[in-house]
Order: sequence, then C-alpha cells, then structure tokens
Amino acid sequence: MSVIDTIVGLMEKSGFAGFFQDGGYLNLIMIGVSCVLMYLAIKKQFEPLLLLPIAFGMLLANLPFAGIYHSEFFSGEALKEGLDFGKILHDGGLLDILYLGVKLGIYPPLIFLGIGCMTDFGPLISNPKSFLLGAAAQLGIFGAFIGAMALGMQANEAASIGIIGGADGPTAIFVTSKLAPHLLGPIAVAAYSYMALVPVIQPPIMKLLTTKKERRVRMEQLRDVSKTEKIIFPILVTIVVSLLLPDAAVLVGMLMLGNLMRECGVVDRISKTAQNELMNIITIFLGISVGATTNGQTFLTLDTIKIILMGLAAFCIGTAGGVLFGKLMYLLTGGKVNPLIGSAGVSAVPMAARVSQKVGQEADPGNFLLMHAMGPNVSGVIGSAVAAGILINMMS
Amino acid sequence: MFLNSLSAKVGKLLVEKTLDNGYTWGDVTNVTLSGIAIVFGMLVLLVFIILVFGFIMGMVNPKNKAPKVQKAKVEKKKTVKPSVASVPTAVASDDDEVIAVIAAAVNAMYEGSGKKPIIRTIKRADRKVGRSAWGSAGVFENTRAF
Repeated sequence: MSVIDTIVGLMEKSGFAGFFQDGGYLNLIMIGVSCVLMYLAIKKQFEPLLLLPIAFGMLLANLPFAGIYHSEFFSGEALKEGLDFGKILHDGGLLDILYLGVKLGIYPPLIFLGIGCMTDFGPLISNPKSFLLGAAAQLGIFGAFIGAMALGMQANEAASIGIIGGADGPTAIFVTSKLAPHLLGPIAVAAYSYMALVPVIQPPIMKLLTTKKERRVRMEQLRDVSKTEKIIFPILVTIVVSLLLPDAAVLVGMLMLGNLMRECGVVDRISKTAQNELMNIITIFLGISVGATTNGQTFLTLDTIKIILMGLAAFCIGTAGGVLFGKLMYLLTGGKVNPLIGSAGVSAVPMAARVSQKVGQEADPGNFLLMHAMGPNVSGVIGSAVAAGILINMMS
Repeated sequence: MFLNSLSAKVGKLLVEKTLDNGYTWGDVTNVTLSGIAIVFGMLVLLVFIILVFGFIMGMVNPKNKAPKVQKAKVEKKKTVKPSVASVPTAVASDDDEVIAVIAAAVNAMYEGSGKKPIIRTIKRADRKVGRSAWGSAGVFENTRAF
C-alpha cells in the first residue's frame, strides 16, 4: 500500500469522517452543547459537581468512532427484547459499563444513602406538620404530568418529565431509567439545571402568593428531639413506607439507612465514607454515564424543548403548591405557620430552605426560618421518593 | 335543564376525548388524583405515627425537663464559661491576638482557684494619665507590704 493509501485510510477512520456520516452533524452540535454546559458549570458554577461530569460525558459520547458509548446497546431493539448483557460486557466501552449502574438502578439509591447521612430529620420530627408541606410541593410532579400528557407524550414519558418537579436529581434519574430511558439525557440535564436555579425561580412565586404580613410570621421554637426518637424515626419510616409502597422501598430504605448510620453514632467510619468518598465516586460515575446518553438524535428534538418547558412548569407548580398549602396552614393554626416554609417542600436540600430563610429575612431581618424550613425540605425528599414509587407502580 | 345537559355533555367530552397519545382526559385525571391522594395519605399516616410516637416518648421521659433547669442554675454559679465581650477599640488585625493573649493571661491567673472568670470588656488604658503599666507594676512591687 502506498503512503497516500495509508493516510487516506487513517482519515476515513478518524472522527472527522464520522461527522459526514448519516446524522453525524448532530454529534457536532452536541459537542458544541457540551462545551456550553461546561462553561456554565465552570464559569457560572451551575451545580458543577454534576453538570461538569454530565457535560463531559456528553462530549465523550458524541465523538464519532470513539466507541466509549454505544446507545444502540440500550435503546430501540434492546428495550423490546431485553438488554443483551453479554454483548454490552464484551463489546462495550467504558461508559457502557458505567451506565449499567444507572440502568440497573444502582447509583441513585447509593446517592440517597449519602444524602441520608447528611440529613438531620430533627426539625421534621419536632414538627410533623411539615410532612404535609413536603407532600403539597409534590403537586408539581403531577401538574407537569398533566401538562406533558396534554402535549401528547406517552404516559411513561410524561411521568418521567413530571418527576423533575420533585427537584430531586437521583429520584428523577431513577424513575426515568425505569420508565423512559431514551429521555434520560435531557431529563437529567433539565433536573440538575433547575435545581441550580432554585434561588432564582422560587422567590418571585413566593412573593406573589404571600402577603407581607404572612411573610413576617415568626414561628415557635422547635422542641428538642431526643436521640432515641432520631434513631427510631428512620427505622419506622422505612417499615411503614416500604410495606405500603414497595416500589419506593429502595429509595426510602437507603435514605433512612444513611440517616440511621448518622444518628446511631456507633458507625462513624462508614457514615463518613457514605457522605464523602462514596457520594463522590457515585457522583462521578452517574454524571458521566448520564451525560453519555445524550446523543444527537434524541437530544436535539422538539421533545427536549417540551421537557425543558415542562420541567420549569413542574418547579413553579411545586413551589406554588407548597406555598399555598403553607397559607392554608397559616390560616388553620391562626397565624403560627409562616407560609414561606412551604416552598421548601421541593426537595432541593438545603437550597430551598435557604431560599425560604432569605425571603423571610427580606421581610423581617430578625426572622430565622432556616431550621423551620428544613422540616418541609427533608420531608420533600421522602415525598418525592414516595411519588416516584407511585409513578413507577402505575406506569409499569 | 339546559345547564344539566350541557355539563353532562362537557363531562362526557372531557372524560372520553382522546388525546394525541391515545389516552383520555379521564385516564389523566385518574392517575393524577390517585397519585396525589396516595402521596398525601402516606405522609399523613407518617405524621400520625410520629405524633403518637412523640407522645409515647414524652410519657416515658417526663422527668427530663425539671432537673435540667435546676442543673443549669446551679452550674451558672460555680463554673461560668469565660467569654470575651466586645472590645470598643478601633478595628485592627492585632486586636484578636491581643484579646486572646489577655484572655489566656487572665485564665492563667485564676487557674487552680476553681473559679472561671468572665471578661466583660477590654479597654486600652489611657497612658496620658499616670504611669505606664510596667511602671505601675514596678511601683506596686516595691511598695507592697512584706
């Protein structure tokens, strides 16, 4: 073979040639999108811990011929006939293997384990009414579900889009990987972007729906919660929720295990590991594998725009639902509950609680709502896990 | 009569009209309402269980509150935590270190006596009136009783 033949042969196998193939230009656009997301993550600090791996996973998966990720192993035919694990393990690239953790529902529960280790359920135990605020904020999930159905999406897709309203990344990924895996990329990007935008989206809605007088309400000091209560709470919740709703068992169970590990005080080593090393490892794997699922064909479609709009609607409806229920509680308790803590029922811990604190302080500088808002905030985590279980149950 | 038949028609239309994806509004409301109902129902149940649970815990440990208050009062008299109150001088980066040193020196003076001092204010002594601190110390040293 002549030198020219060799060089031509090399060029034909290069990634650049891949762009000129069928639909190859979409990969080029996706590489552009991934660079924009990386800019947002690094320069604007939009949830960088997740957005950066997602963006880079997107980049790696859209490099033609690199073979790091094969979307055909996981979609289309494979979904109908069941995944061919032998082929995945044999022919798969790095991200194919890592993606199995998402597909098999391993990563989200492990992230919940870490989240449970970092969560303090004290404010919730001392004021159980906060549970209801956590439930009310999950209205966003169902609101978005209705909207997505109205836009003509299938029920399982609509449910996956709706779960964005739960403001919980791992839950959204868990539900989507089970109900609508082909939408995992756009839904994950939308979910994490909106979680980063909580401080921007929530305050206008909160101010619109409450009066200044309501925002200035100072709440009573929370009672002390004993160690025993904090230890029994996770065990109790796991048993009750898992028996009533087995589909939610894995998420709620891992969340509560993490919490138990933290509260019992005798397993400090593994509690520390779960919060730090394990969380970080799983975040890396989850991020890049989720990013890898965004290939041009499914991402650059009208569906993605619908998802982004519906996701925003879900957030807004969830916030509004929480605040309105907070107003109801304000009326029913004769002014003892500040409606602003209702918006913290979306489970973006602790961002949403901080937003409640901030808006409350704007109305009354000495008002410390943070601890009171943590109650609905953590109950929202449980609420969104329950809602996830319900949706998985109903759709599959 | 007219309203009745109208609402019946609208109701029928809403429930039976199929959407683009082949589902009816009836299906959608079905899922939505049952979903919301189950989420609320589950969490209301949890609220109830926690309230009962907190109540039981309260009954089992009623004595906790009374002795705690007494203990706090007794403790206050004997061992008071040393705390440094605000320093009314100008802001300078040295101030914190100076405060720390003074606090350490005062604590060292009281070490072993069982009492812990509270530092309320630290004011810079006015040098223009009287002698410097070292000078005063020297005078005191030389003039105290044998």
